[in-house]
Amino acid sequence: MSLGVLAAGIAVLSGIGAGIGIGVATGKAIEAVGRQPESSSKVMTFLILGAALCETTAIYGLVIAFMVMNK
Amino acid sequence: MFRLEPIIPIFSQQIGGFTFDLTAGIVIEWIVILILGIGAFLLTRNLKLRPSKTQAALEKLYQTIRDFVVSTMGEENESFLPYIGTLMIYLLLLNLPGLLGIRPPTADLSITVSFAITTFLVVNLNAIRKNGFIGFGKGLLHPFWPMLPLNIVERIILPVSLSLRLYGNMIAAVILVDLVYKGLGSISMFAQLGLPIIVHGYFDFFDGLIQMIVFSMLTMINIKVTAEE
Repeated sequence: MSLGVLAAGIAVLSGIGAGIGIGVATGKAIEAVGRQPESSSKVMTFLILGAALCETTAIYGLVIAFMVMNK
Repeated sequence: MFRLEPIIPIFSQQIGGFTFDLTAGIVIEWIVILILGIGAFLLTRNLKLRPSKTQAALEKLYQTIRDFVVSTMGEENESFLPYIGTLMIYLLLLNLPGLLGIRPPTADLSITVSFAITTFLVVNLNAIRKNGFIGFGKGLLHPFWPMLPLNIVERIILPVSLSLRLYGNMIAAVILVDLVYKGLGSISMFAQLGLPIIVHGYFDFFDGLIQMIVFSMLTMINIKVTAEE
């Protein structure tokens, strides 16, 4: 066990933010569709886009975790 | 302990002090290109005004992609339909080999970077073509001139984030599927037979589909927004 493993664990904590972000985005999207069901296809587009952008931070954390794990 | 294993080239050649590595991912890319090319040739060989069954299915596929592109980019950018359509079908097929037990080529950073560079060139060359060099330079100075470094960073971060997103998602899928197989293998050999289908369905099929949609959608939105700036 090296310190790199601990560092990788800390780097992966960025997943918390991504999880909260995607949760908020999905909740708001469902609210919007509930109010205006006819706009669901448009909301879906923005939901996928927003979720992708939120998720990017988690992926950065994952990539950095891989990089520091072998140190 | 689990480690990110390096990708071993099948074939390596030194040309003028520069090493050319042929990896398994590139071979799979060629195979997919071959399948797509032959398939496209055979399926569109005899198109008729009164469609047969296959032609109707192809037209449905074309119509779906066309509706997606037009609803995101607007009618005036329909000329990008061939590029986006190719990107979507090709990326989807590159994300799926995990279902056959092959490591997907998109789990290799060099291949996703090549896709991201293509998108970067399309986005910026289209902006230059639409606005001219002066308009493009003015777009970089957008609200006022101190924003220049930030605008340049914004342009460069697009291929970086696109390639890292696709790579990170696919490598995570590969590693998680591997872990599930290892865990089931430690219980019993027979546990590996049916249960991983669910994992494959989620990580290979669903995740591959979503990442393909996200990649093409970000490409489309950036083409549109950068040209308008």
